[in-house]
Amino acid sequence: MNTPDARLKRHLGSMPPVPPATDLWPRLELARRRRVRRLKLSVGSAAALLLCVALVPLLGDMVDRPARASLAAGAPEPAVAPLQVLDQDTVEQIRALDRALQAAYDEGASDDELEPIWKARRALLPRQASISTPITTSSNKS
Amino acid sequence: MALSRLFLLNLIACMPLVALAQDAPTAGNAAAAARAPSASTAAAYDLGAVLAKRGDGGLTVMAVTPGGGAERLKLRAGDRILSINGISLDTLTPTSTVQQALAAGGSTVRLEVARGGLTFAADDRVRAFTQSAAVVASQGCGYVSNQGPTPSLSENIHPVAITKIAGASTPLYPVNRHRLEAGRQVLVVAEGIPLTRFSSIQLIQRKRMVRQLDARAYKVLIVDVEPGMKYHVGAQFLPDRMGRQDILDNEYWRPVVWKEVPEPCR
Repeated sequence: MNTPDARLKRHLGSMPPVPPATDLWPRLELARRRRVRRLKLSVGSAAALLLCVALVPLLGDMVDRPARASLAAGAPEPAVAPLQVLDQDTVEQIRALDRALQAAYDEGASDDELEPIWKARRALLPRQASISTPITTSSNKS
Repeated sequence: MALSRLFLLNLIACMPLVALAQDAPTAGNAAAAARAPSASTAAAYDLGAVLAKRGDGGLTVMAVTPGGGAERLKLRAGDRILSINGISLDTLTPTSTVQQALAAGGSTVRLEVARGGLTFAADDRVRAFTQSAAVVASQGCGYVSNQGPTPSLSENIHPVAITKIAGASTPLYPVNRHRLEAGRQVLVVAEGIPLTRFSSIQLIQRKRMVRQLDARAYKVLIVDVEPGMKYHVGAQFLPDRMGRQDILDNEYWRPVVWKEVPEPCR
């Protein structure tokens, strides 16, 4: 067969090989480095994103922990308002809570179990700087 | 603990309404009795402070009750009471020991108190620590219950588990009702709001809150118990408090008495 395609192939086959451009290999190497750099950047970003997602709850816990630690039971209650500023109903509620607290301490309740009662007590008491002020109301004197 | 309570609550919700006719074995009453003996006791003493054993010798004043004897003596939270009337308070049962010590001194009471490295004595008349007969005497009884059908969904009332009554733990098995002395009673409850009320994100936040707070997620409900009345308690779901921080702060519910019905109590 002597088709135009076969002739073209023969002609091309008989031509001497053309040497590649001198800057071909550096360009190829540069392109490869760019690809690797882009890959590294993508992998790094994904890893950082995953790390953030994983750390958010943990950091949240760490942020919450000091607040919780400050509530850690075992510490005696801080100063409370003098009796004069509390109405009778509030005083009665505090007494009921104190009875419950004492019963719970007698029972050996954990600090976690006691915290809701302490929290309710704190909610009833406006705080003040010191409890050292003597509290004397005529109804309490026997 | 909180998870086990919630699990138990769900378990109870799934159980058929078995007729659990018995009352709770007076858990709250036992605690109240420890603090305030029955009317038959000649005199009941109350120091007017919350005391706990905290490491060192004596009992630590955790809080001073307004208007009580400890307040008259100017005791402060953090003080350590080493002895009362010469009786050492190195005890794990503060209430009974303090009552015995107060009763041992005749007409006066003498406390040995440690505060900030100093030790001092405080005296007062024993009358300051004597509870009035009106307080001590029983004034009848009533009931609280977390059993039975809750109101319709639109009212946002859901079941609760009652974990403590007057400071004493309740039985872990379900009881139909808890018998209480009439008067102001302190309940500690855990919510049992169905999971269907939360979105998937809210469920994650709630789970995180429960994991963090554990038994601290429980809430206090103070009930004024009238003689011959039964109080149904539940958790009121607050749909407008369902933000992320509200859930993490455990602010999406509150304990309520949702029904009061007359029920003879003996």
